[in-house]
Amino acid sequence: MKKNDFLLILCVLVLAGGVFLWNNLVRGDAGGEAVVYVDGEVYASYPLNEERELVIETEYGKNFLIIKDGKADMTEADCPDGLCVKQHSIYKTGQTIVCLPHRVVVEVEGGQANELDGMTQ
Amino acid sequence: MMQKKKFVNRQPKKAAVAVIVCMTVVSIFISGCGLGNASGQYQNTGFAMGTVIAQNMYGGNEKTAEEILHVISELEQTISWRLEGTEVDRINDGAGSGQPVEVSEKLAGWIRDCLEVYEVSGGKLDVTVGPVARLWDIGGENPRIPEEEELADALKKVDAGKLLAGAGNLPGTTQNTGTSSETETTDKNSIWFHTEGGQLDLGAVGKGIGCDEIFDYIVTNYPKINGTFSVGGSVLIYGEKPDGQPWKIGIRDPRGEEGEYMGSLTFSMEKGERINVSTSGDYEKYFEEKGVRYHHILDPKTGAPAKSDLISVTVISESGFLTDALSTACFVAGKEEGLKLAEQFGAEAVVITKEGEVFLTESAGAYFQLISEEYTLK
Repeated sequence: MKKNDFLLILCVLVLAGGVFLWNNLVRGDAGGEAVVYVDGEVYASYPLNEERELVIETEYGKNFLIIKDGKADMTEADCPDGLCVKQHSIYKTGQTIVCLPHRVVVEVEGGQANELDGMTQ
Repeated sequence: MMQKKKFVNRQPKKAAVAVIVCMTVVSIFISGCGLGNASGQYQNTGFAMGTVIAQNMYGGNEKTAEEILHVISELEQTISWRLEGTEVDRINDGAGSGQPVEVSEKLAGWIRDCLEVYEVSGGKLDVTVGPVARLWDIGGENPRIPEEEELADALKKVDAGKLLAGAGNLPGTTQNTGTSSETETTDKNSIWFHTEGGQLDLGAVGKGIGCDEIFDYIVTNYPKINGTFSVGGSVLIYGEKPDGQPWKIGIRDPRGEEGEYMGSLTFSMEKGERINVSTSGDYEKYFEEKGVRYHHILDPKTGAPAKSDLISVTVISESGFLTDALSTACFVAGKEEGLKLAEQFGAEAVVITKEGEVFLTESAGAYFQLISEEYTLK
């Protein structure tokens, strides 16, 4: 019985481990993705664990986005206020970088949990 | 006897095994369903009324979010001074004409509320500040330091005492209208704006009003939804979080980048309950000239950016309007007066001074937690 008990526990642990790995690797949830919206519509989405430099070019203007080290950051934009460039890099679910004049929103989805439910500013 | 002993010894072990197996199976289910990621959560970031609307809700979906965005767009059609034909625009068109303008019950109510804050705060919030705000154009395309003379001229048009919602004079104010008060109509949705060239500007309260409008909409149409809704940084927190945990709202670090917070407010809410938070700070909209920062919170008395000892004011109240109105008024009032003003209205406040000191109203400590080491809690 002792041996069987041990085998049973081992199987269950392997199963649990398998599910854990599945969730985090195969589903591609590790790190989440940066979803770019223009005018409220999905423009593109990029996994945060793949390095990338890209331009979001719309009728409103250009925004340069860099994805590196699991984070997304707006590094350049030709909007009048440049506030989107000042916003810090994002990597937690629900965090956003917003370019108001260009109606661009970059939002992290399926990434690390965000401990905040909202922000007052 | 020997057999009995063996039997007794085995039971606890089997039970232990069963417990371990059950716990492991439950853990698999939990990680598989992603409860950690709170299923049923829907987040949406959109634009309306010239600002960012961030929605973080449970039990809602894209359709709900679209409808809520629409609530704010509709509000803009009432309160915007920029758009032609809005109720505020009509009030401004009629400024100084001696004629009242009929408006919706809601707008009349909001104006009355603005006038109450104007009275109680000794003029720290003045929604007729439009003419001066237009000169500075902070946050606009051409921000600049106005000339002394043009500022003085514009300042003459700033006087919320000349704005009336409904009949009669406000207590403690004198009305120089050229007409006797008996001839003024008693219709409570009539707005009298007795200043020629006057400009009503609800920019200081619009976001808080937006939060209240969203609350009204949810309570009427989706009472089971709960979540946080940010209208340009004024946040409505509504209902009970699905896991029963309190809501955690960050307070933006006034000297940090967007997304960085210096402290948090924790709210334990019941079903159907709401709370609102708004922040005013000298970091939101400003321009710099010769090393001096000109921020957007104007002192209605001087017509210039308020020379406050504060860099950020956060107000907590059940009313979204009040949090927005008071965050402005308290900023202009400064630390001492500002904290008193918040308490006068039964609201709580967290204020941050230029030296990085954080002061709270009496009960704000129940919500607030300092996180950044750059600041000291007093």
